[in-house]
Order: sequence, then C-alpha cells, then structure tokens
Amino acid sequence: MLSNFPSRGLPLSQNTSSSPLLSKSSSRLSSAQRPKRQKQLLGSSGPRKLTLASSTTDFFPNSDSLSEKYFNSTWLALNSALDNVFHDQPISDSFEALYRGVENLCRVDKSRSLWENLKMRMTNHIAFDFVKQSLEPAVKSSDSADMVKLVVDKWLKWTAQLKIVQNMFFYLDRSYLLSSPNDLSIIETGYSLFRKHIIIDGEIGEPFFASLMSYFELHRSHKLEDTKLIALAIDMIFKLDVYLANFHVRFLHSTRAHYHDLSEANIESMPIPDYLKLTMSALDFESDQATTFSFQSTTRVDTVAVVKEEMIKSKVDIIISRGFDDLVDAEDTQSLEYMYQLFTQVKESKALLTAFGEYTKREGLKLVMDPAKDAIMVASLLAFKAKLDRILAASFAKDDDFSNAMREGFADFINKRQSVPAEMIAKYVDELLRAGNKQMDDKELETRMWGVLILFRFIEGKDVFEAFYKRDLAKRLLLNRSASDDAERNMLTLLKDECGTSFTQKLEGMFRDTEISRDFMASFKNSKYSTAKETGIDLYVNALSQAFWPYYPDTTLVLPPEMNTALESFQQFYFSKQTGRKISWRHVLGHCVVKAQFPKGKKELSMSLFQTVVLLLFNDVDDGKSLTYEQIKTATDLDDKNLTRTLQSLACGKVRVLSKEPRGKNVNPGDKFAVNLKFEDKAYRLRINQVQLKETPEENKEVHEMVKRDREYEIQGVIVRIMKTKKTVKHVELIRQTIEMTKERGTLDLSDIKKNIEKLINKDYMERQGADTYVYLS
Amino acid sequence: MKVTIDKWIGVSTWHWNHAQDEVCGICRVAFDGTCPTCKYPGDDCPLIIGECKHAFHMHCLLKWLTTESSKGLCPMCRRRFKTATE
Ligand SMILES: [Zn+2]
Ligand SMILES: [Zn+2]
Ligand SMILES: [Zn+2]
Repeated sequence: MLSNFPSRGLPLSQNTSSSPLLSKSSSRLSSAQRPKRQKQLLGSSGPRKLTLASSTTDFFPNSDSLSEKYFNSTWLALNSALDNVFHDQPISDSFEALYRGVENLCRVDKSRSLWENLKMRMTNHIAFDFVKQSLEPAVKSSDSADMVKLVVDKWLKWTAQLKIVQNMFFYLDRSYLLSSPNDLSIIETGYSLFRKHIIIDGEIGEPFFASLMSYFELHRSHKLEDTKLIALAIDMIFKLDVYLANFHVRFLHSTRAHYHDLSEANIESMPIPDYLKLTMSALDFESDQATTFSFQSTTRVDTVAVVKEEMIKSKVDIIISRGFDDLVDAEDTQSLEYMYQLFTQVKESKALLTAFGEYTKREGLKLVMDPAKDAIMVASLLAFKAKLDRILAASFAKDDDFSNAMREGFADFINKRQSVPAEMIAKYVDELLRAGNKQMDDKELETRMWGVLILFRFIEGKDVFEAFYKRDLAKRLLLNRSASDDAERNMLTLLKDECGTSFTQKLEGMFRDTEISRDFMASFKNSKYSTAKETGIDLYVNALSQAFWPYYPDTTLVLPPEMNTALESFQQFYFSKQTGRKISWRHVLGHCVVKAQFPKGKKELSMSLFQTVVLLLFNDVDDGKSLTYEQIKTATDLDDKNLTRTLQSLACGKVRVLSKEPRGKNVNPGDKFAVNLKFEDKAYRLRINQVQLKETPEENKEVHEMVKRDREYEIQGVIVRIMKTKKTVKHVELIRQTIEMTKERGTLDLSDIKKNIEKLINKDYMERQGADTYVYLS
Repeated sequence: MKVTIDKWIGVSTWHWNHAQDEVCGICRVAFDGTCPTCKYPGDDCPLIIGECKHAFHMHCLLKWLTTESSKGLCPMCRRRFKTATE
C-alpha cells in the first residue's frame, strides 16, 4: 500500500543542509513561529526527526498532477492508519513512514488539504462512531443509561487516540496549524469536536449532565463508593473548558434543588438542633466535595451560599418559631451558636436578635409578675441573667447588639410590676448582709452583690429600693444583725458608684450615727452616771439623727423600775454632754439579753424589749399562776397591736417560754398566760426576737406611703423650681421638663405630675392662664 | 421562774430643743437636717438661737451676717441679732 511512498528506504541519518527547499522550509519554521510546545509534544526524538524529514525534500516530484496523485495515495495510507487508530487497532504501516508522509505533503503545500481531510475524518469519528453509533442509541434506549460512564469512556478513548493522531500529524500541527491564525491545533480541534458534538449538543450533553448530577446526589447520600469516575468527568470538563458555562451553573442548580428538598422535608419535623447540625454538616460536606473534585473556588463559594440560602435564609422564621425558645430554655449553647453563626452569615441576625430580646422580656416578665413567687423573684432573676450571660458568651460571641437587647429586655419587664422588684431586690440584699443566714465566703457574697446591683441598674423606682434598703439597714445596725461591717461598706460603695453620693448620703449618716454612739457609750460606761453595777443592766444606746433614719412611730411602754433607773442615768449623761437637745425613745427597736431560770434549766435569751418587759412581769407571779391579756396590757401599757405580736412570739412561736390558755395560734383578749414550766431546749442561747426583724404588713405599707409622699414633695419641688425660672410655661413643656429633671429617680406617672400641678395651684404657687399655660405666683 | 437582764441595747433619736419652727428660716431645711454645706446634723452643724428666740443653722446665720444687706439683723424679725444666753 505504501509502495509509492517516495521517501521510503532513505537512510534515516542523512543530513544535507544545502537544499534551497530546505532553507526555505527551515526559514518557515525558524524564528518566532517556531512552536514552543514542540519539545513537549515531540519528546527527545523530535529534533532528530525534523532534520531527517527535511532531507527528503530533494526528491519531491514537481508537477501538479503528480503531486495530486501523491497526495491521494499518501492520504489513503494515512486514512487507513487513522481508521485503525479510531478503532483501537494497531497501525499496519510504519509510523515513521506515516509521519514522513505528512511531512512531505506539508512541504508541497498540501497542508491545507491534509488538514481539511483530517478534520473531516476526526469529525466523522466523533459524530458517527461516538455519537450515532454509541451514545445516541444509549440515550434513546434507556433513561437510566449511565451517560457519565459512557461519555467519560469515550473521552478517555478520544484523548488516547488524539495523542496518536497528533504524533502522526506532528509536522502538520507544528509547521502549519500553529502558525495559521484561523486554525486550532490537532488536540484543540479534537477537544473542540468532542465539546461540540457531545458536551454542548443537547441530545448527549443534557443526559450527560443530568447523569453527572445524579452522581453528586449519590455522593451526598454517601452511596457513591468510587468517586474516580466523577473526578475523571470533572477533569474532562476542565480540559474541554466548559466548567463555568456548562458545569458550574448546572451544579449550583442541582445543589439548590437538593437542599431545597432536604430543607422542605425536615424543617417542619426535625428537631431544630438536628436541623442546624444537618446544615453544618452539609456545609462541611459541600466544602470537602469541592476540594475532592478540585472545583473552582467560585463554585465552592456559591455552593456554600446556596446551601445557606436554602437551609437557613429561606427558613429563618420557622427555625426561630420552632426552635429558639426551646434552645434558650435548655441552654443549648451549641445549637444557639450554630444559629448565630448561620444567621449572621445570611445577614439575618436581626431576626435572632429580636427573638432574643422578646424571649428576655417574656420569660423575665414571668419571673416578676406572679406575687406567689415574690420571695424567689431576685434569685430567679439572677439565675435568669446568669443563664443569658452564659449564652451571650458561648453562643453569641458577646455581640454588643445582643447584650443591649438583653439589657433593654430587663429594663422593660422589671419595671412592669411597679415597685415590687425594687422592694424584692432590697430584701434580697438584706438577706445577703444579715447575720445568721446562709453562710457564704466573701467571694460568693461579692459575686451576689454585683449580680444584684446589675438588676438594680434596670430599676426605675430607685427610691423604693432606697426606702426598703434603709429600713432593713436600720434593723441590721440597731439589732446587731449585720453579718459583716466590711460587706456593709462594700455594698454602700457599690451603691454610691451606681447612684451617686446624694443617694447614699443618708445611708452613710446611719453608719456614722452608730459609730458616734459607740464612742459615746464607751465614755458613758466609764462615767459616774453608769448604773450597771446597781441595776445589773449593761445599757447601750444608739442615739440617732432622725433625718437619716426611717421614721418609727411613738409607742407607749411602762418600764420596770430598774430599767427606768438605767435609762434615766443615760439621759443624765447625754444631757451633760449635749446641750440644746432632747431625746425620744424608739423602744420598738430596743432589745435585751436576759437570763431566765426555767424548772428544766437556765437559758440566755435574746429578746425584744417588749418581750423582755412582758416576761419580767412573771418574776412576780408564782409558778403555775397566770396573767390575763388585760393584766399584761395594763402593766406594760403596750398597744394592742404590739402586745398581741409580743405575746404571740412568746407563747405561740417556735420557742415557747409562755403557755397560753386557751391554746391556739392567735392571741385574743381574755387569754391567760403562764410561764411554760415544761420549757426545754438543747441550746443554752436562744434568739426569740425574730419578730423585730420581720416586716409587718403595716410597716410595708408605711414604706410605700413614705416613698409616695417623698415623690410628691420632689415633684412639687421640681415644678416650683421650673416655674420660678420660667415664670410662664406651657403645660407640655412643664411636663417634659419635670420628667427630665426627675429621670434619675425613675419614670414618673403622668397622672402624678398632673396631680401635683393641681396641688400647687390650690396652694397658690401658680395659676392657669388660658387653656394650656401656667404662671408662677411669687 | 426568775428573769434578769444582762444587756439592754436601746434606741433613741435626738432633736433640737428650740426647733419650734422646724425649718431653718434661711435655708428652709428642717433643723433635724443640716445647712446646705454640711453632711451631718448635730455637733457638726449646730443651731444658733437669738435673743429674739429665732433659731437658725449656725452656718446659715453666720453666712447671712457676712452679707452687706444683713446689717447684723435677724433675717426673721429685723432686730439686731444677739445670741441668746441660757
Ligand atoms: Zn439653715
Ligand atoms: Zn452646717
Ligand atoms: Zn429674730
């Protein structure tokens, strides 16, 4: 078949450079046109072949007809070889001869025709052998044809065949195609044909991509054992340069469909923590997958965004409504962290922020609104706050917006119950600072004081807190029930830092009074006035400046003679030191330590002064004999309220030093009281004056009324000050300024301000002018 | 049964004797409180009573007497202010 091939049999090593044709040919290949890839494509044998081939040109026939004939016969040989190549059969002719045939044709300017022929042959191979014969029937025969496998098989086959063709037509490729501006190289042409007829063509391309996408589906459900095929397909897609236009878009589309379905299938039924985990693992999976198959970074970025959009962004409301409250309830910081991160990434953190704020308000409100839970209100609030703080730190990256939402929530709900939280906070502090309560170390105490102060910060009714705090502090100081002077001072400093000196000035005055009294009593003890020796009573008196202390009503009380003596002696001493003053006794706060000899043993009792005075009456009563309620009342002159409470604490409480006839929890006129001869207790020292510490309903009411009264004075003072400077002012302006000037105290009721304006008008401080103006009257 | 008292911790409040008007005629603050510059009532911020029987925070009156317009008169009754002697 190759018998006419002219170059056949020529010595391979001959090298002559004298031929004009050669120099012409060489010049064509020299300089800038010389292909860069030549070494690569040719391998080490390339240059040798080149010199060899150029030497054959001398023997070329010159006439056109001869060259035509030569072309045909050479092409016939080449075509036959291509036939073998395309059918994966060995080439029967020598590769060397074929190669030279190509070179010869090129040298006689047959490159164009040769290329057209080859191109046609390649096209036919793709369009007929691959498409018509194999791929098309597969597509038509079944929907489930494994198009990825079929196409990748063809691709692998084609790339292998192309390599042989390229080598065979190497001279054409390099001497002609590379320098021809409108032609692609053989490999590029081969790729282009594959792309055009198989990938871009809808008949094959669509089923191929659909099949590829279903491979990714399998991969996502972890049912794909071997990922090699996908890797080969992706490699092909890159080489064919159809990644962005054909693959990327389809991949994102199918990814979106996948996660849309996944989300729809689970969002209503799956527990939200699981749903969030599912999303997180989907993101990891997609990211890993992008790495595994060397996707372009844009695909990775877009894929992750698509997953977040489908799983999170489009489900924000339902995720929050189904999961948020439960997660916070259960303090699932991990899930909340996922939620925060994912929501932030899809720019929906606002929805989470709103939910957090609302949760704070709603759950907080539950803690303050139930009067049955007042006793545990502050402890509950502290626990609630601590929990939200933990979530803020662990889940919300200490995000300022979230901290603010929590604070706003607290400020909102805590003031919904008027003054009760303020009162409860004051009482909580009292419990912390009061001796004999739960033992805790200094650090724990300080932590709790800090915590409660943060709650206090949200309170608008700071005056209510102050009033209760003052009353409790008074009791702690006067009844010696303060756990630690340091702790008291610390708390005072905290309050001063928080509310300013004017807030704590009176409280400081209270401490000062007790200090002055301590010094004063030391000098009394050493003075000639002290009657401790005669009466046996060691008297200690706190002399208070009324302005600092809570108001205590006057009470009547008849003291036994020896107590009167002691008291008189103190007064004499006091007046000897302090001139221009008088003294009022606040016996309701007096307390004593007494020794009592019971038939079953001696006890040391800490008692209120009222209890002491009542018990002393029984010194003159024979054992077994009793005193009536009325007899005791006459002897002590205590009013019914105080007497009833005192007798109840002695005869009906935990420690019953008196017995009552008839028995019962309540004390009534006519009841008879006697020493409880059977009284016994393991302890020698007993404290039975808790009644003094306990707040009575009347006392509570008094504090609230006092706060209200003070508030009224304050409002009126502020209004007068405004009127004094403005002389004439509009109603709205007066209200606005009054609120402005009293805001430190807390928000005022509009009706309170109006009421006090009325009062000032009635007191002729100001008068109306027209419908909405006031004038100051000096 | 026999009861004896060991200790008695009593509580009293003190007031100024001559505080019949209850508020200082100069600063309008209760005598039980202090003049505007003081923190603690009592020895730190005593009262002063004139022969005319008018009482003031001492600091309030001294400040008043340093002003030109006072001319050494009691701000309430415009009589020459002289401290009362017991
Ligand atoms: Zn004054
Ligand atoms: Zn003063
Ligand atoms: Zn006067």
